[in-house]
Amino acid sequence: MAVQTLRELLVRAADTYGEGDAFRYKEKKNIVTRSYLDLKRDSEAFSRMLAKKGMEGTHVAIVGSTSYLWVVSYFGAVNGGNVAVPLDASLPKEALCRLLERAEVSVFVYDAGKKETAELAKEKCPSIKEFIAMEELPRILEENQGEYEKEVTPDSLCTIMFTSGTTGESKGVMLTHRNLADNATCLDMKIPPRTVTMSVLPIHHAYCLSMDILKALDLGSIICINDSIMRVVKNMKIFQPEMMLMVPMMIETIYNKLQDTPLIPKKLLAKEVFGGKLKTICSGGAYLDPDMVTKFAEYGITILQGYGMTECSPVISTNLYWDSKEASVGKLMPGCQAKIVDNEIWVKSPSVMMGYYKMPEETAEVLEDGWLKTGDLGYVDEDQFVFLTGRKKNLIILKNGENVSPEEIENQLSKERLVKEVLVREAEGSIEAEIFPDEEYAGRKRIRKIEEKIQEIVDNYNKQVPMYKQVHKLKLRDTEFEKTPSKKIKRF
Amino acid sequence: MLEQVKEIICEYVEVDPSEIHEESRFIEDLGFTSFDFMSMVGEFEDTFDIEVREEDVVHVKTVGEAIEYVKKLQAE
Repeated sequence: MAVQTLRELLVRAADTYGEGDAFRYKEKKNIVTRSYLDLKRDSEAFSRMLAKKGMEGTHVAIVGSTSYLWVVSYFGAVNGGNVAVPLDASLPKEALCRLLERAEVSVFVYDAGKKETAELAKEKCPSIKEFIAMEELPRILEENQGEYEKEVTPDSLCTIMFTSGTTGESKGVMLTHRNLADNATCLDMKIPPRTVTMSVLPIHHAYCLSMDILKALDLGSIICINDSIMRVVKNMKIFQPEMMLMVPMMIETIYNKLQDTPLIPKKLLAKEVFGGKLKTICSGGAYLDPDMVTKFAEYGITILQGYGMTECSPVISTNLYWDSKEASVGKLMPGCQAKIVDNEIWVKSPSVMMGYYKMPEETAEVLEDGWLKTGDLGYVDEDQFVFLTGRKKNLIILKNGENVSPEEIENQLSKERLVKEVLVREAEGSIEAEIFPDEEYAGRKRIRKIEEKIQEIVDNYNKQVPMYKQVHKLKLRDTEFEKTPSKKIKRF
Repeated sequence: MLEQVKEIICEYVEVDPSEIHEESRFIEDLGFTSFDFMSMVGEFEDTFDIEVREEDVVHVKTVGEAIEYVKKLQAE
């Protein structure tokens, strides 16, 4: 029978793969392993702990880098019908506290790097009743081992994931058990059980959580955890993955590295760089230049480009070994229908979200009769392959898969009096701000070095945001921007 | 050390070594992506036998600051 909840997915994986390794990771200099049975047992202990504290049915935020205990906390929450709220660990503590408030979180689970956030949340977020440090978890799990049984309904809310909105404020995408279970299990990729994978993307992203973790439970893969983005190549040598999920930025960096040593035969070099066993890279999160697919094939590595968005749990289409088309983002997932409305791709599938948490207007803008408006322009051919041609919304999708709303940055910068008008866009892979300064204000305040002052404003903004939202290019203009009839700045 | 760092930089971005100075900013001037940058710092660990802390790396913006950081870790 098809799996309909994440609880069923976990139980099936534990029944099928039992003591087989589910996770491999570094602890100091040693490699530690955890089995599928360990994951089930430990996550059930977490669920029992939540029940004991009277926290059943509440929202549980999890913040930290990818770890076995992160995944235990996630399943510990969703096992018992709690709603998991994975948050971006790279956000500043103030921004995290705002999201904790907005998601109405009652239990906050955090890793050692987020102690300061926990301290601030104790002051600022009165809704949080329980603070759980991940370093305390081994003891807590030990104390709470035992039988656990709980029925979870497929259409109940399972996870809230925050994604960049076009209006500035990030939106909490509500995904049900059915949404996530369906996306992780509906496609038979013909990947053998016990395939070794390595997880390198941030785990709060739908693409990583769904495809690195949930899909692995479907396949019975062995998930190796990359301890830092700095050590991807080093860890590939240690763990020797056969398959990895990446974003285009990583693929391009690795390609440049390969290019730097042209004298060694390509397949030999690939063995050295990728650890020796890598056969497949799944690319998602942003659009990958199809040239890369051809170039990596020369090194004996197949790149399967896919397409999706958090609102669709997230995969909409993917290329497969035996079923791919050049320059497409793959074939629609089983059960996913698509139609084109004014060049925009609309999709309907069991993976389409319930809506945005407490944002009915924004929800109504993207959901219509069960159809999700993707905001992407493109077409679907007669074999159900999706081709993208552009974006309808202004959202900037960077090559690392991060989505950035230009309006959010514009709103921040235009709070400064010296900034009269500002337009934010993507330029050569990074974020550029073009600013029309308020010269009258500068005159009044006797600001002579306008350019320096504006750079200072941008530098100050950059200090308050994660790296992917920083403005790396600045342009000044001496005339105002061209406007639309409704007095909005013309973007293109 | 500047020469060694220059050599590593050139593995990641297409730039002439003569254009790399201590004041050069990795992202704005040398054209690094954030992942290029993190991977390069990872490579520093082996080259200079140090253990980098990810949270420190956000404060490193220029080639000079990177060299300072490596020297600081080597002295620890």
